[in-house]
Amino acid sequence: MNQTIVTAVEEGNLYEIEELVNGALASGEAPKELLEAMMAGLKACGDRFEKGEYFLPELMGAGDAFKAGMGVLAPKLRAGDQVSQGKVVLGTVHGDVHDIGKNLVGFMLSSAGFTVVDIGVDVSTEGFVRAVQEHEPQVLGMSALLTTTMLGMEDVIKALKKEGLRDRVKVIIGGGPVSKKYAEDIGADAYGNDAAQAVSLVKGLL
Amino acid sequence: MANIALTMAKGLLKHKLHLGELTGVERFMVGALMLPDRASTFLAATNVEPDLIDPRFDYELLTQSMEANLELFELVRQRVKADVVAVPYWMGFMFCGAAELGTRFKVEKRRVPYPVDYPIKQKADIDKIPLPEQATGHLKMMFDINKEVQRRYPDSLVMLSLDGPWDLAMLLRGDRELPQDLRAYKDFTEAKDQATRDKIRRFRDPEVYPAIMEKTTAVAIRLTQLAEQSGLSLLGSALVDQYASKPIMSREDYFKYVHPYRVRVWEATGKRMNPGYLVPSPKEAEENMKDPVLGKAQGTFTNYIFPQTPEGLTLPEYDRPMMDLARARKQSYGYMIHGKYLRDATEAQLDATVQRICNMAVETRTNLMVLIASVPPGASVEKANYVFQLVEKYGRY
Repeated sequence: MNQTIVTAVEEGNLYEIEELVNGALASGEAPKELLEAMMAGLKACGDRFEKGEYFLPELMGAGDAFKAGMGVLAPKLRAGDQVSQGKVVLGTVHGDVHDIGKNLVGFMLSSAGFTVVDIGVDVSTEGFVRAVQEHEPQVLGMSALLTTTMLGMEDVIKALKKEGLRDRVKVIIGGGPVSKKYAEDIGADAYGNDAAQAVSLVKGLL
Repeated sequence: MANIALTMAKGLLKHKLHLGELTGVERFMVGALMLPDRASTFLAATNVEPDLIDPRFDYELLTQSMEANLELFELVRQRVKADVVAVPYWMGFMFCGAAELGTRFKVEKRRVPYPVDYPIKQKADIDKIPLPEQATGHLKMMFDINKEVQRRYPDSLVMLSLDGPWDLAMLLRGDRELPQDLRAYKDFTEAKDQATRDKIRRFRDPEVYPAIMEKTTAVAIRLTQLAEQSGLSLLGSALVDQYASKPIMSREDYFKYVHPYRVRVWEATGKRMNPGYLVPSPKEAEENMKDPVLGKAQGTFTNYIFPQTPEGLTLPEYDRPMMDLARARKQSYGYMIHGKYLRDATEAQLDATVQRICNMAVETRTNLMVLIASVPPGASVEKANYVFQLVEKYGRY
């Protein structure tokens, strides 16, 4: 595995990743192997976050470096090179603009090979429903930081049922004020206590 | 408060000479110097959901009417029996002047106002942020509410809370962009060579971060001046940068890239503000005490951002070390019952939790303050009162 690429993503070297990927491609390295190196870099960054060695700016840096590297790599990848573990739509519920937790979950899932569609913050009930219809994910993840906004999660689940989508998507919820009991009460499939749990939680649902 | 020294002297005399039960504020003040009669209790009124107190109140009304805030505060004081009931306004982060500086907040009836658009989109916008000449809008309303509370309830504790440079920057730039500005600045200043610095510049302007922080430092200083001009005291007031701690940034980055700006605000205010810095572990609380500025902070010993169980309870193994540290520093340990736990725990669970923490404080002769900083939907004022009654039952020294 190309350790230089691993380290560049892990350390969020947004500024040099494109050169490095281009250089590796020019020297004959396979795009699929470079993709695996970038994924390993993301995972290493996530591991360091879990250990308390890395913080938000480092995670964002690694995510940006991964995206920049993919910008170079994507056109070179063949169909089948990017084997996704599954697709997850993530968003923060209406009235809530906190996205740190959601971003962390997205980061963890991406680094584990899931295709993550982040639909942002302050997402309306209709916005979640539209995203499920459009992207057809296996899992929908909703986040809230406020006790007042978490109530919107139940609205989304009801709307998914009304639209006949509930059986086609697993729903996970997370965020400071949310609990396992609340997940059960509103009919979610699972509750994640922190971002680190996200990968095993989603894998367990699929 | 009419006269802090007088209240403290009165409280100390009453306590020493056993001249009757201390009032809540007297207990709080005595606790700053010695062990009072029992553990004290504190409620942050601002985080009690308005409709739990009275459904006539909502955030649309409360962000417009000073009288509504004062009326609701009076109702909270009547219904919640805590030693100190403080922070008498319900405006979300609109209280700190960001709305007047260009941050657009969304205000809905049943949700705390939240920022949806930020005035600093590029470096050129920083210069457009004015240094306010006078308090206006929601900032003025917050000042006026504090003054009126002080007038109406001279025995209450009015503690001014103002955002510091980092938290102001988060409100003016946004919590997505600012960490990336910091990252670019950090990478740029730590780059080994010019070639790397040139590469960094191609992706993001590294000068944005220091420019924003210079501006928000000046704004933070200006806001403290306006508070004083409004007749409010900075003594005991808090300089809040709650988003400059983990997991937003490392402690090292805090000291290198945020702390110097906060020190400037602290010094400009005659070192009268409380420059607290939240920590996620007893070890870091101890380290704070070695810093010449953070070491002067009160309220350092709190479980506010400690790791929690899924139920919302602070990891219990952290309590004893924090009590030992607080006692050694002649401070109190602020034990917060988090909103999530208050909402979900049964009365028996609350009883066990409060009994455990009070017993530990009594046994170790540590000044304990039990805080409730959030009464969310699904909880109730009665449940908050139940916690405070438990402190009265178990917390006598």
